[in-house]
Amino acid sequence: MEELLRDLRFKRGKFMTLTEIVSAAGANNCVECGKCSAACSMASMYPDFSVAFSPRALVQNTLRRFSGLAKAPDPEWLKRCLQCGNCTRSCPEGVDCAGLIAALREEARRDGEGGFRFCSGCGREIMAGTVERWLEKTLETGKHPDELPGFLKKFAGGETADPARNDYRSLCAVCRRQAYAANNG
Amino acid sequence: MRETSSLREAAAPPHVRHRAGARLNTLLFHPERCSGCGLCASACGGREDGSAAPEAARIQILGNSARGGSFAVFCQHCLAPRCLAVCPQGAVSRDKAGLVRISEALCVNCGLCREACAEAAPLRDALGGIRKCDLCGGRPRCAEVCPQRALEYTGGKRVKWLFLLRWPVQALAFLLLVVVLVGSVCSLSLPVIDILCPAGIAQSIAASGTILLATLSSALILLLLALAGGRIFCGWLCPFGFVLDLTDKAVELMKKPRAKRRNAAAVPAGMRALAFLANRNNKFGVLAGAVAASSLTGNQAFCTVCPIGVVCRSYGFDSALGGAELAVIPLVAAMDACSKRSWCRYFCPVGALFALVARFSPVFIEIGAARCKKFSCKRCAEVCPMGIIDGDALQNGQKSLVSKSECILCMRCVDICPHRAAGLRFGLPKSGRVSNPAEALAGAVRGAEDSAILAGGRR
Repeated sequence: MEELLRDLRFKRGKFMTLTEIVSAAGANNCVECGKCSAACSMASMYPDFSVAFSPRALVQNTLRRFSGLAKAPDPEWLKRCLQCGNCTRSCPEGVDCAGLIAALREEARRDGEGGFRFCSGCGREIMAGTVERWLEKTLETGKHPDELPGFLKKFAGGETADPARNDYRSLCAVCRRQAYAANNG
Repeated sequence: MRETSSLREAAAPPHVRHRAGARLNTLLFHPERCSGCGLCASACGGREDGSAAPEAARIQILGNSARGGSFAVFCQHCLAPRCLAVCPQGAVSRDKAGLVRISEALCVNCGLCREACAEAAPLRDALGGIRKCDLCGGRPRCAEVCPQRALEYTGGKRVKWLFLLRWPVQALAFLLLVVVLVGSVCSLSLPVIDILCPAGIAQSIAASGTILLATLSSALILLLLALAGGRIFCGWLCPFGFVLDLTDKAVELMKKPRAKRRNAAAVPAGMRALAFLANRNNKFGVLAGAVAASSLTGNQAFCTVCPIGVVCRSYGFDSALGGAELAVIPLVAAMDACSKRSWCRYFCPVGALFALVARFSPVFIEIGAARCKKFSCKRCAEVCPMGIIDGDALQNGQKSLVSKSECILCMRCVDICPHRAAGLRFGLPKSGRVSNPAEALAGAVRGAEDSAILAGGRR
């Protein structure tokens, strides 16, 4: 439900001016307490999560852009966001950090940034390419150990050496469940 | 009162050692029984405070308007959970009873587990928290309340009898063909009838240029067996197949329990150049090569080094090659250590002849019936000696079609499946082509579009 509300305020493909973004997200209320950064799951995913790259930093960066003290953030950072909404939920001042990042993504996309992913079923935005790469990497290295060392497997099973088909990851969670149910029901 | 106390008591599940065939209690869903009433979700959502709150449930019922059925999405407690691999907080754990849990203390609700799960089974509740089935610590409420018994809490079948049957049959066949009967698979003379190796006859015809009706009919017997029962000879009767199965057992015993996975980039170039060997069409090439060599040399060229023949006839040092052909056995056994039954998969010309015929046989193995736990289990794909069960299809929640010409009907998959979702089927010959899974998924979503309304909002 919460996701739905956010979608209405920060619609995909609806580009907002900086003022609109800040007012819709309520970013002016930010008191820099840093609770959003404390709650953010990117902290344990990326080693360079820091005062320069965190939800708090992105909010403050957006505010500073009014006075010309800052430039648009690195789009790679925006693409790392999982849009889980933890920052929004943890904010004591009611700032919608996740919505703000979503709007900044729209801005980056308007400026020609690629690498965003959309559900192949419903078109909703799903986790960006940066997160997808992180997932791939984690799944590859944290894999259940196979019966053979990799090089033997590669040698012996030429046909299994293809990259795994993980088509389900092109769908958002809702569509994925529907697809799974339709395939198996 | 029993209800509330049992939750705490049963929180620590009984200690079960996880082995390949260990029984792990899990929820089994029967789609054909489900009426979509949603009692399971109500019972699950209210299990703490007794309220009927489906939005707090860890199970979700989806309607399928295309087929009119219902389907329950809930955590399947994978043998190799992907959520566990990706969780950045280390909040997901899997205990020895096979129970995959998300620690509420560690979880930050980032949703990466949903992203990694083929079914997106970790659900979000109304406040954005991640909720996932924990089997109620051994007494699932959903299974208790389901009026249709569509949800069943079970460890699956207890007795695995097929392996009790197959090993003795294989051993007996080996004993008869190698030790007792003279001539064995290559040319067996029984009182009434002769049975000849079809690949040997093909070479004999090529070598001599004459076709004898008697030998041809003798060769047809094994081919008729393949026409009736697929490559059952390879799985149950072949003496060399028995040797390979024993080798597999030995390799399995010797291998380290947690073999370290090497980086694919570390594969030496020489090894990569050999990858062409791992092609199932090679065996047809070997067959053609054997026939061609026979017609050139005038004798049955391949039969001299055929592993089946070497095992059966055991000429020893009196043979044409002075015993050198015995080297085939350790060579093929070494190949077997790389992948199970690699000789049968890639090179055996006898198997190639059977494969040509077996695709018209009425017997086949079906993997992934409706109750199959698909991506979470994949025991069948692991155990298949021919490596023909498509684990990737199962990972995407689809059936794996089993090629009749490659399946040796050893039925290990049928044996290991705890929930009888893999089975022997009889039917008219079907062409086994796997459709493009991406298209199938997109089609499934289109078919299920309006059922999202029935599912009750976006979660």
